[in-house]
Order: sequence, then structure tokens, then C-alpha cells
Amino acid sequence: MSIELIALQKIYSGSKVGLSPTSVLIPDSQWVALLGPSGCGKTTLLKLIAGLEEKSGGSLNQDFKKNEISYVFQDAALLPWLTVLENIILPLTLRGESVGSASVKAQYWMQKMKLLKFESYFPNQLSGGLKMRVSVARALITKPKLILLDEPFAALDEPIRIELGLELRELWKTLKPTIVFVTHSITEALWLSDRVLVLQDQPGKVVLDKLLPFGEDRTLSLRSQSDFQKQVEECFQLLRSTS
Amino acid sequence: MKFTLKPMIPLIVVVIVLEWLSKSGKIPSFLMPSPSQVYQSVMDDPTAFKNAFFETTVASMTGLLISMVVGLISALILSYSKYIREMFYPYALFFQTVPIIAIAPILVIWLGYGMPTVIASSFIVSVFPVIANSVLGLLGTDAQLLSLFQMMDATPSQVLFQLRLPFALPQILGGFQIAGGLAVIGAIVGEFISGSGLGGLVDAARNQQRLDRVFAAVFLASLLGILFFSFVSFLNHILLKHRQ
Repeated sequence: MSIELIALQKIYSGSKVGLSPTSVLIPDSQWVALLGPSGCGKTTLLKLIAGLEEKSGGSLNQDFKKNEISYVFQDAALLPWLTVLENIILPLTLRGESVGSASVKAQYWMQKMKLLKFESYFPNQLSGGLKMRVSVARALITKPKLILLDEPFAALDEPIRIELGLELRELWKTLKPTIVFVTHSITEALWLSDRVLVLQDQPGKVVLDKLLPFGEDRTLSLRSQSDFQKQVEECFQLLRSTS
Repeated sequence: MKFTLKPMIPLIVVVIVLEWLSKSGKIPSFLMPSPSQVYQSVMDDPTAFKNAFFETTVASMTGLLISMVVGLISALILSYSKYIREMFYPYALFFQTVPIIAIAPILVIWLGYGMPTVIASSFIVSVFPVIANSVLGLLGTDAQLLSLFQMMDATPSQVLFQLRLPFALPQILGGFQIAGGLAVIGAIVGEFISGSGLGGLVDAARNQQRLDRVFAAVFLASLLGILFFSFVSFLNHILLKHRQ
């Protein structure tokens, strides 16, 4: 299963360019990070892949069915009137699965995401990090084959970003879904992904498409290695020149 | 929601000042009866006040309930499509702008001197805030949550009942809260014409120059409005305690 974009573009009403013609092939089970300045079309690209936006031109070929895709939003997007458990099982109950059976499945993900003791909490009782864990658990409970992450760690403190990033990478190793990950953090993009795409602003196009040589296992110490630092520096210079 | 006695402080001060102004002769009692005179007027004829209060309560509560149901159903229909909204929303405004005192006599001709006229008057005055607030809430659903439901392939009825309605609940309850006070006003206006309840009591006392009875009835009507408002506030507190 792959995602193939050929000259895919999005133009909003008023001739505002959301995404300039972009061509990319994302193979199955690859974790791809999208980097670029604000307004270059990263989120638009994610929404086009998700089917949340209609394309204005080009073509988008992907084999994922709608129920095989999960989307994690920047601010967790939890329903404030539902408990942690009810939020997590929402995708299953909407599909008609019974609350009992969905709750059994949720136990596994709540354990993975360290949420067991917060099962009956409401979102307003949770910290930003816990809310994001709930959002990730909700995205994973359907065992998606494609996960779209729209700056999921943007509002979190650095230690929580690192912890959640590592946990997500571990889950990716087990389940091997395809992941498209939008972020503003160069370090995070290089540390968690297999491949980095750098988009430039107006006209938005891919100016760097790089496969990362860091293997499947990622540890915190990788971030301080000179190889890693060199890649960060390269991306930084490129982003500075394009923004 | 914390219960506080603080609002009682200005009330007590006003009662003391009015009592003093009236008793000292600074304000003639035929213009402003003292609070003790107002209280005494109720004690002198408790059955009349009790019956009037009960009638107004039943009429305004029925009017409010009809407003809630009709208003919410109208809001659901209006929020369903822009086309329907543009076609019918101006007519919903009719309920906001209609001078109820002017159409109350028409209601009497149509519905007779009795409860139906009072209920209709209460409904006409109180339905618009329910429609306006509910439409606002139903159309204001968080775009990200709508995208989430779209991603989860939710059916239109799941989007309505599991997202739009719960999301709009604070605005819907806000509309109920405003409607609670207006329902009492509408009922009183209807009663002015039909001659029943607290409105009828105010009208009769006015004709007899019994300002103490007028004030007593007005006070009871206000109390009823406050009771409705407090009940919806309580509902608000129970249903929305987990919202940020």
C-alpha cells in the first residue's frame, strides 16, 4: 500500500494557494516527516491525503480505505463531555461495536499509553500530555494502516514530547503503519522518521527528500551524535534559505 | 456553582430604606407602599395570591416547555441546511419583534379567555432565544471535531446526536435560561388581557388603586422568573460540569 501524489495541488477560494503542484511517492510502512515554514501546505497535504479537502489539480492515488486511516490533530481534539475511555473507544462505537467489546480493546491501548488510572477522567481534568496520549490511543485502537500526525507534540513540553515520540516509534516498530508526520521541529522530524520531506513556501514544493540512515531503533542518545547533528544543520540551513 | 447569600445584602438594604422612606412620610404610601404593607396585602388575601401564582406558574411553565421543544426542533431544521435557514430564519425573527401586548387581544379572540391564550403568549415571547441560541450552537461546532467525525466515517445522525447537539448544549441551555424569564413576562401579558393569574391580579389591583397588591404580584412574578432561571442554571451546572 502506497501513497502517490502527482502534481497534487490545492487552491482555495480567492486564489489562495494551499499547496503548489507536489509529487511524492510514499511506500508502505514508511514514517515520513513533512518539514517547512508555516503556510507552505504541510497540513493541507495531510488533509488532502485524509480526504478532508478536495484537490484542485493533479492526482492522489492511495490504496487505504477510510476505516484504515487515523488522524491525530495538533490539540488532541477530544470530546469534553466524554471520559478518557469513551473518547478512546469512539471510533469503534461509531462503527457499531458494543461498548463492552470496545472497552476490552481500549484496555490494551490505555496500558500502552499509560492511561489506565485515568480511564474515568474527563478531558478538562487532564494535562496536555495526557490529552495527547488519549488522542493517540484513539487513533491506534482501530489498528490503522495509515496514521496522519498533524503537529501532535506542538503544545507539549520537551520531556513529554520526547517520551511520547519514543513510545510512538516503538508502536510503529510493532505495527508498521505508514505515518505522515507534520512538524516544525527539525530534531523531532529527523529523530522519529525514516524519511524527511522539506517543503518551501510560495510556491510550496519539495526542496529536500531525504532518506535517513538511522535504522529502526531510535534512542535519545541519537540526538547528540555528530551524524544526526550534521543532518539537523543541513535541514536548518535549507529551511532558513527557503522561508 | 456556589450558593451565596451576597445578593440578599442589597435587597435587605433596599427594603430597609423603602420602609423608612414610607414610614417617615417622605414618600406617600399611595405612590410607594412600604415593604411591610406589601407583605400585609399578601397575608390579608393569601388564597388569591396563591391561586394567581399557581396559575401563572402552570401557564408560563407550559409555555416555556413548548418553547424549548418547538425552538429546539426549529433550530435543528434551520441548522440542517443554509438553504432552509435563509428561507425561514427571517420568519423566526417574527417571534422576537412581535409586540406581544398588541397581539394578545387577537389571541383572546382566537383562543378565548383562559389558559390557552396565556400559554400562547408565553410561548411567542420565549421561543426566539431558544431558536437563536440553538442555531448558533449547532452551527458553531468545532471544525476539527467535525473533521474527526468525518475521518471516523460517522453517519449524519451520529454527527448530529454525538457531536453537534452535545457541543451546542451550553448555547442551548443559555437560550433556555433567557426563555425562562421571558416565559413569565409573556404569561403576565397574556393574563393582563385574559384576566387570570398574577397578570390579572395586577390589572385588577391597578384599577382599585391598590398599589400594595400590585407590588406584591410583581414581586411574585419576579420570583417565578428567578426560579425558572435558577432551575436552568442548576441544569447547566449538572450537564456542563465537565466542560472547560
